[in-house]
Amino acid sequence: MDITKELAEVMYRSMHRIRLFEEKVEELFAAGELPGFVHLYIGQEACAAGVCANLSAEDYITSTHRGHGHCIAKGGALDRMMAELFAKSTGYNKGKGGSMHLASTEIGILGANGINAAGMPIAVGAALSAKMQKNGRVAVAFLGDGASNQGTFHESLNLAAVLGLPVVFVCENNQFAVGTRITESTKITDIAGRASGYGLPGVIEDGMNVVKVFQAASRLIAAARAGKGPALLELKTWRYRAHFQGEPASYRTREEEAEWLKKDPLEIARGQFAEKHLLSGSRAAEIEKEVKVELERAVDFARRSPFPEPAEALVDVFA
Amino acid sequence: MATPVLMPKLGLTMESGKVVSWKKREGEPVAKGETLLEVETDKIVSEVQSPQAGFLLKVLEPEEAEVKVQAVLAVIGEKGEDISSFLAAPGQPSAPAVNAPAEAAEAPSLPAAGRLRITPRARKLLAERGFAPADLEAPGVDRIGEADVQDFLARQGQIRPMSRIEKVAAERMTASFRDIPQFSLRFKAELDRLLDLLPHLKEEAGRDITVNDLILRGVAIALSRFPEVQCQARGEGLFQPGSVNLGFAVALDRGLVVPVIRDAGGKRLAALSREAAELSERAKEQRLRPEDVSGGTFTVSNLGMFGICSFVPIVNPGEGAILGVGGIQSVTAGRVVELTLVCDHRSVNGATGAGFCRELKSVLEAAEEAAW
Amino acid sequence: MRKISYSEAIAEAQLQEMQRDEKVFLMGLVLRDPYGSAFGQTKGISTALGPERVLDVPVSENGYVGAGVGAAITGMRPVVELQFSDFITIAMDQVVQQAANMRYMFGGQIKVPMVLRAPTGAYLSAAAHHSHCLESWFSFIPGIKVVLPSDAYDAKGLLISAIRDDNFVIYLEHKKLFDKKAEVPEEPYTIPLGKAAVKRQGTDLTIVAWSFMVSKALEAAAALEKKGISAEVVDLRTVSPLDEETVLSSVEKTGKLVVFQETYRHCSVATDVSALVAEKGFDFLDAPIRLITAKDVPIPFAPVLENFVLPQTENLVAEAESLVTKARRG
Repeated sequence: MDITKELAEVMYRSMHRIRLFEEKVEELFAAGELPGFVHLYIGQEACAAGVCANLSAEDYITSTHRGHGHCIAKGGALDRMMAELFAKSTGYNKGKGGSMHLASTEIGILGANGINAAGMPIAVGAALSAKMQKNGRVAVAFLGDGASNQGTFHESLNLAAVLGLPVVFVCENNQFAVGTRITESTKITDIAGRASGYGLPGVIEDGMNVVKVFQAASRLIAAARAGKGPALLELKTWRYRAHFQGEPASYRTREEEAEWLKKDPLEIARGQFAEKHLLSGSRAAEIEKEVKVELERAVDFARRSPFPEPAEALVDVFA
Repeated sequence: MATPVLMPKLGLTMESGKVVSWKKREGEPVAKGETLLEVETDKIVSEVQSPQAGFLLKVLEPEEAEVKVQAVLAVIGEKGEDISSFLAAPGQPSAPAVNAPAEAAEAPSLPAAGRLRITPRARKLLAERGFAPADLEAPGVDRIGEADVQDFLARQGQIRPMSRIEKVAAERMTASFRDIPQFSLRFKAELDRLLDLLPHLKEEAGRDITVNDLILRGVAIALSRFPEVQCQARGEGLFQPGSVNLGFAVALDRGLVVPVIRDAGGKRLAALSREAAELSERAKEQRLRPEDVSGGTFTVSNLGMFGICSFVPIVNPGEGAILGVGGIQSVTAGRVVELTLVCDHRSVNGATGAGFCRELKSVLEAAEEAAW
Repeated sequence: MRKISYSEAIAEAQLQEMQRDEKVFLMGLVLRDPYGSAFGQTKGISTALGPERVLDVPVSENGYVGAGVGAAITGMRPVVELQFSDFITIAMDQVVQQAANMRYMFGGQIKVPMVLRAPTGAYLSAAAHHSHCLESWFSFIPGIKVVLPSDAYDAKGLLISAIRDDNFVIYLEHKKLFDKKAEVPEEPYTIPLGKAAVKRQGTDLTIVAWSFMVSKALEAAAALEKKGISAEVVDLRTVSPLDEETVLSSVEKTGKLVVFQETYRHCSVATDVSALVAEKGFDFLDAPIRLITAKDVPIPFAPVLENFVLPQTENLVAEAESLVTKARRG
């Protein structure tokens, strides 16, 4: 599928929002302004942006503990997200979820998730729902390489295949599950290879290249939407930060980190779009500036927002 | 461990007791349960036993001392034990009066040592009635339960407030007894004739006529013929009512009420019977109006249905006399009823009273159909 | 009125709700006819309505319970069946971490109108892996309603209410009750969740029970009547949320409480009821609270062993007798 100018801008903006948001979160977290802990998505921007550019607000995604990127790419508002990280009542989850449970079900974000692979069956269920209601929606389940060893991964792939559901499983293989290198946790090199074991297509793609991500996702999502069933897309990528902020990440070598830094997805994107005359340098700079302003406003909004009242803790257990 | 001996609460209202005599001296050994002293309240003299074996280390109250309930009388323990804590306190506060909560009386005041256990339900029930666990004597029971409390409460009897009617009656009867010089005249009336006439009278009346109806009518007739018996003492004067307003006593669940049949002299048997029945019913349903129970000039009280042969009623204050009616007895002479007239001597003397009795007797025994 | 069995009542409830609301669908193992579920709880439904809303899924409890959650938060009303409640352990993450938490941790953005149904209980030599009663685990977790019908009439009414409830409800059906018949109205009806029922009036003691134990409690009450003891039997129906008022009113009346529970004592519904009465009904008690529960061992296979481990009607009769005669004393 060809990339249009609009699409290029959308994806570029999306990646930039993710990058700036995460860098800001890094800063705020180090300064002690954010409670709990955060798992940063820096380096994986092309995955979220490329996949979500194929989705409308009505489609569904489920995310992981490293979910800020997915939420932003799916259309999450930076101010509502930031407020949630600040534990304010104006956050998407009214301060009751935080980083790992960020959700905006109105725009199909069925939640980041604190449990490995737990979003996968939920996405399967959303796809089942779409199929039964015949509304043409699809669901995308993001997962990591670690999740591919969880029983839930296998149950989800099998169930989706057997029922023929419009769900695409996007595995962001950043080579590490917390501190365990994938070569030590998995006998096979390519997780996509597991897909055939369940009777669905498995595709591998370069997760640092947003255009390639977009095109691969596009084919699989279109197929799912057309009723051709589920698929597994494995994106080879790298997280530029540790598993969570504050972790030493001593399990990675300086050399490999340096290698991957050379493949910064934002730079690759800027280069690609400029080459194809989809996004001029000045337009890119404009977008960057706009995102910067948007982010500043988001942080300001979050800071000024009130904390939830203690009594809020007692509501919304049941409808 | 040194143990205090406390003044026990020996009765519901006991607040203090007097030390009558010590049976043991300071320093003497005592066994558990051995009598240490005798104490006295308004009503009784009681022994107080030692709660444990040991030595009588200290006697705190001498003979003749008036000591508050729960205060320390003495201390039992081992020789040389520190008992200063019992001496420092001048004595515990007196046990609470009737309506105090159970907690205050939890301190052991039972002769036997050991904390008394009681279920929450039982404790609550006790407290509601103004008692404390210590008030129960339940030897051999390891935990006082509701059943134990219910037994206990049943033995105490119960007080409830008087109903209005009971209160008024109590006041009036006391006043009558106190203020009216009353005397009684007893006589019998043979009723065979009247009772033989009864079926016919019923038919004539077209309704069921009771023996009481007959008596009331008889009295009404007699009063019309002998009105002097209705004379009332009013201050310096004597008041003679102009009509016969016949009251008859009706027993209620709680108390007595006397509805009045106005102008009974002028009402024949059927009307009288109907009115008496109607007033009776309303009395039992508590629907009497003020005019139903006022203006009486003579009262009839009938206890015949309870098997009473005769009795001496109390004059209804404001009236000159009252008639008590017993049950019908079968004797050799036939069926008779014993009647007792009680008169206010200020306005009705013996002769007057007797005159009325003779009239009534004659009315009942003659049973002249025409008059009824 | 016609009599139908407990399993027929469950099937009828689901069929009628699916007829009323097209968003209701079933998911589980062998739900479609001719099987109609392991104990007949979905018999006739796929024949009547077609297979589209009666999904037979692969044996993958965490996966398909999770799919139920996903469907429930995107507009459908799934009734998910586990073949045995014991298998809920395989799906624990989706039950406890996802379904129970979701409304709350998303700040109230969605509802989770999902029913998770499963056969529960012992007394049939089903041995360790097929005999559990796990209602206390789910009473413990906020965000889950837990319902256990004791007869066919309650089964239909409670299931209809559970399906209509916009929240996550775990509905546990006792295996010993599947064949038991009762009068069940043909038209749909509801029995409110969170409300207990006094199944037998009495004055001498309160027996609190639920699920299969209600039958045993009623048997015990009949036996106790012959001994001059009047027992009140309170059927909790829903163990979470617990109907505190009904339990407390009963104990206020009788002064004595026996909780008659099939399963283990520790951290259970029985200890919950006990704590409730000790805290809020302290003044009502004329005797200590008694709990009759299973012995703390896995459920054995041999009937003689299983019957020894699990509470029996005789245990309840003996306990009740002892409790009441002790209180009566004189």
